[in-house]
Formats: sequence, C-alpha cells, structure tokens
Amino acid sequence: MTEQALIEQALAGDEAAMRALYETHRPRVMRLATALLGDADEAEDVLQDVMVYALTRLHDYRPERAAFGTWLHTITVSRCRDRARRRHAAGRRMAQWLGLRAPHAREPERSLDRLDAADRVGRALRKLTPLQREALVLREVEELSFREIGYVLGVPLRTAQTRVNAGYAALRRELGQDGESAEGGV
Amino acid sequence: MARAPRAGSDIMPTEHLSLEQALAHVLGTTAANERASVEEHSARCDACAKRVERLRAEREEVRRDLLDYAGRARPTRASDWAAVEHRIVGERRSGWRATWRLALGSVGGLAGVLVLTITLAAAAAGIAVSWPAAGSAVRGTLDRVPVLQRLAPTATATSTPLTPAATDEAPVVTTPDDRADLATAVPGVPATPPASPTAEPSPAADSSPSPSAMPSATPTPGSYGGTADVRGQEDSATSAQPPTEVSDRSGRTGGRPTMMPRGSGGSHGPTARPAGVGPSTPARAPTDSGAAAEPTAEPTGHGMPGRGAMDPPPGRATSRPTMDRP
Repeated sequence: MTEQALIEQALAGDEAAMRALYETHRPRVMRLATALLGDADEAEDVLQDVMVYALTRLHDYRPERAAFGTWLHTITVSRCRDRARRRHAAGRRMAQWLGLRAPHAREPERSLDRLDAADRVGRALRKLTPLQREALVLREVEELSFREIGYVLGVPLRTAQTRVNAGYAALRRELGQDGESAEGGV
Repeated sequence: MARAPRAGSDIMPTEHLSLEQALAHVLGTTAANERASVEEHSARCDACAKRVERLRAEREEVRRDLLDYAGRARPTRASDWAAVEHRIVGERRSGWRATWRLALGSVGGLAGVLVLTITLAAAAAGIAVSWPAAGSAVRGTLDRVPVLQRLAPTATATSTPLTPAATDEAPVVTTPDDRADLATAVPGVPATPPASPTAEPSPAADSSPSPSAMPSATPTPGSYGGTADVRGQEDSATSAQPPTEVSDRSGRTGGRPTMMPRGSGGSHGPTARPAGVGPSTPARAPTDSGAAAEPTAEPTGHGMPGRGAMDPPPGRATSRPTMDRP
C-alpha cells in the first residue's frame, strides 16, 4: 500500500493506517530529534508531539508540496526548536552542560579518548549554531536533498547549501580535523 | 602551496582546489557552473584528487558517527503507539468540545443580542413586547436604564420611583392645620376631612379622579411595563378619564401619579399615590382614620375631599391593592 493511500485511510479515521504511518516514520523522526536535541528522552517526547500533531492534522498535509516524511521533518525541527528554546530559557541543563562540555578540538588527545566517536561527534554537533546543526543533520543524517532542506527550514536552496557547508566546516573544526590542508600537503 | 581560487570562480589549470572548494564538492554544494571545472581539475591533478578522496572518506566517517549518535534511541515498543493513540483521542475530544463550546456560545450570544435588539427597538418605538420567560429580568434591567426612559417615556417607566410631580406637586394634607391652610388658599376645600368614609361625595367629588386614578395607573394588557389588570378595566367604566387616555397612559405601569389629569379640581397627589409606594402612605393611614373618627361641623363632600373621601367605597375596596403593584 502506498503512503498516500495510508494517509487517505488515516484521514478517514482508520486506526491501522495511522499506526502504519507512525511505525514507518518513527525511526526517522526519532533520529532527527535525537540529533538535534542530543537527548534521547527529550527526543521521545518530541516524537510523540510530532506524531500526534501530524496524525490529528493530516488534512493540513499537502502532498504536492513535499513528501510526508519531509513534512514530518518540518514539524520535528519546529518542535525541537521549541524544546531548545524552553531548555535555554529555563537553564535546565546548564550545569550539566557546563560540567560535561566537550573539550575544545585543540585540547590534548587524551581528553578525547574518553569519548567514543559517536559521542565526540555528538558533542561537536552541539557546538554548532542551531541553524548549522539543523542543516547538517538534515543533510548528513536524514540525507535530504537541498531542496527538501530548504522546504523544511523554510529557506532558499542556496541558503540551505550554504548552511550545510558552514555547518560541516564548523564540525570539522570542533573535531580537530581542520588541519587537513596542512596534513594533506596540498 | 598553490594559491587557491575562490569558490564560485573558474579554476585555473595551474591552481589547486581550495579546501572550501573540495569540501563543497564532497558535500555536493558546488554550483552547477563550477562543478564541471572542479571535476576536470580533479581528474588532472592527483593531489587534489587525493584530497577530495580523503575528505569524502572523512565525511563518511563523520556521517556514520552522526548516525550512531542520532540512532541511539531505544527500540519501538507497543506502548509507544498506545501513548500516541491515547493523545490523539484526547485531542479529538478536546477539539470537539471546543467546537461545541464555541457553537453554543455563539448561539447564546446571538440570541441574547437578538432579544436585546428587539426589546430596545420595541421600547424605542413604543411597542409593547412581552417575553414569556425572561421578560421580567429584561424589563427589570431596562427599567433601570435612564436612556430608555427618555427615549420611550410612555413605555419604559415601569418601576421608577416617584417623580417630583408626585412628591412635590401633590401636597399631602395630613394635619388639621394643613387642611385649614389649604381651605384658606383654595375655595371649596374643606378644612376638615369628611366625617365618615361612607359620606357621599358631591358631584364635584364625583368628577374627581381619585377613584379612577387607581385603574388609570394599572397597566393595560400587553403593555410594556407589566401585565394587565382586569380591575383597572372595570374601574375605567366609572373613571372621569376617557378610556383611551387610561389606555395610553397606563403604559406607565406601577401607578405613577403623573398620570393624574392636571387641572381637574381636587386632582392632587394623595389620590394618585399608590398605597405602599411612597413613604408617606403608611403615615397617612392613621391620620386618615383619626380624622374620619373626629366629629366635625364642616360640611363634607366638597370638591376637594378629605382623606376620608379618598378611601374607596366598599365596593371598590378590592381595587386598592392593585396600586401596590410595582
């Protein structure tokens, strides 16, 4: 059954179709939320919010504009922004952030050894600006096209490309890989 | 190291790709017009080709790490969907509730506005409107609006307090001295009240509207101010006022004394003051009875009857309580 058929059945109130949509898109939404928020528990909350919002407002979805998954990404990014804003306003995790802040890329290697590669890249990801992080995650994790990234973020295609470039360059700096040109001897 | 050209510009054959250009090429963000030249240069320049390959491998590694980092969510459980389903049901219910609340509130508000509009328009036009259920509440509210009383003086003065015409212009003769002064000032006014309430009034007293003031103060059927009183209709047969006038003015319900015809002999306030409305009414009652019990040599049954003459005849005694109606 195609996704559009599932959506139409869900619009008609078919619970099984709703559940199928949920199961299909849950991993991607969860992955995106985790990458943007850096917290699996918060990502679970965002996943619920996103799926409840989407499944109760299926009539707002326009298939001609974007794929259903891309629409879900739009909602996810919006929810993650709200979460990040609230978190920042409340200063809820400030202490934790200060205590566990990732070492600077130029700190000794022994500090980085304590973290595995995924943690390292995750902490480097959190150093990026939110706009850079969103664009980079949508490109590198969700593998969206630049046009889809522009749709999700509400920016032109060229802006999406620029943000991905800037985000990746910043991530490399955080990971200590910005000496590539010197090492490469080019 | 070769001077790196800026991104977006054509790459000279003798120059190497800049890091920015190589990264853009790896990430696929190179502009379409530059992509061909970058690929051409990479095909000819081994150093740049190696650099691009290194960056591509690095990107794959970072992407794997990112996927590992982002994919650390726990596996799906059945309770996940149950929680989402529960919230969806709750959202739908709350949505329906909000819709119903909005609809009911809108209908109620529109009905209220409609009733108020009709009532105001009717009051302004002097048309009697009787709302079966909420009529008393609406009337009570409208009666307290001075603007409405000015707009429709014949239709909205239902329960207003006594006007100056009733309180100031209508002298209350309560003592023998007052009666003596009044008798001196007005020819034909007796200095003493009649000896008994059963004294027959003179023809002048018959024309006095004192008995007929009661029915004239009683609202007619369908009037704005109140309900009809059949006793008012009975009394209007013996009233000195024409029935039409009684009907017109009776729109002012509540026995307002201003409905008394001015200029008629002895048409003073005490006869028009409804019993129990003014504060002086209870005080007059013992005076009247006392005066009636006093023996007097003055003739009774003058044009200006005393308080005893104002008492209704026995046959009309039952009509007085209608004046108490607010």
